[in-house]
Amino acid sequence: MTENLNIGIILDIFSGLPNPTWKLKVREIDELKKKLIHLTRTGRIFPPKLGYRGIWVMNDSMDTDIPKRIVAYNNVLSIKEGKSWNNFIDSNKLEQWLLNQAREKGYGEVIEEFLKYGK
Amino acid sequence: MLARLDKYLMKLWQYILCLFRNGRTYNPRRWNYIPIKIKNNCYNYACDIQTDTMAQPGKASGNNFSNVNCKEIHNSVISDGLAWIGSQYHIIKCKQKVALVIAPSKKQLDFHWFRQDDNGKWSHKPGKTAVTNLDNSGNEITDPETADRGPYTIFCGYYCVCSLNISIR
Repeated sequence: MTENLNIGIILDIFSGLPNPTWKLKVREIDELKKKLIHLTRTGRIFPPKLGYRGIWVMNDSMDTDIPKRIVAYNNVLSIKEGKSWNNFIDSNKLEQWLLNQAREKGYGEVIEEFLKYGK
Repeated sequence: MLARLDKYLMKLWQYILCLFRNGRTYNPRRWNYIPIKIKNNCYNYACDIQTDTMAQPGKASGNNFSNVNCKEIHNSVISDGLAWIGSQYHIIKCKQKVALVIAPSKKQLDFHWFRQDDNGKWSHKPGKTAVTNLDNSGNEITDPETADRGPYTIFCGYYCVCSLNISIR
């Protein structure tokens, strides 16, 4: 059961202005879970300081099937497990799925411009 | 008339005090811990004031910008109390220099600030991320005009910050 819909997304892209943020809908939370299965570990990658730095999933709900913090950047998922972060190949295209959501919300121009520098 | 003169003399006195203040020391530890890191942005860092509000130019002084471009951000920060130095670097005049850059698009997308520290080099705080003295290529920033600024390709100019004079929120 999906409860307490408090799973937020942050497009980590700006420096001066606040980053775009939105909440996932119920059906989107179920889709998110599907994208977190069968992941393969990989090394850490570092985003640039200015430009597109990735897209964050912030789970402040009671749902323990989703990690508290996920950062998707350049086809790698950094997932907070306990106090440490582990990195996985984004084989289920979570980052692209979230970026498409951002485009649907009107951030397409921002993404295309900043992606030139972010990867 | 007398009130205006008094106000002018006060600002002049504060400006003189600022000329003799030391520059800021590069001390990222003061900024790079939760919650300070995630609640303060490039403008907070440039002004060296932690408001925990992701400060926006003009917000404290009631002169908000509508569009992200050099002119509107300029008007907002002047209203906040920053002083315009110019589009080119000047050695004298101010020990707390900051530089404004813009990420352009069909409409300008975002602004960013760099600040000069007392070692003569520059540092910055990209949004909610950590304070750093490195640019996008991983090099120390000796000149914000020539540093790798990623998408922030428009260089607006230099300002002087003196926390006696300015108010941000």
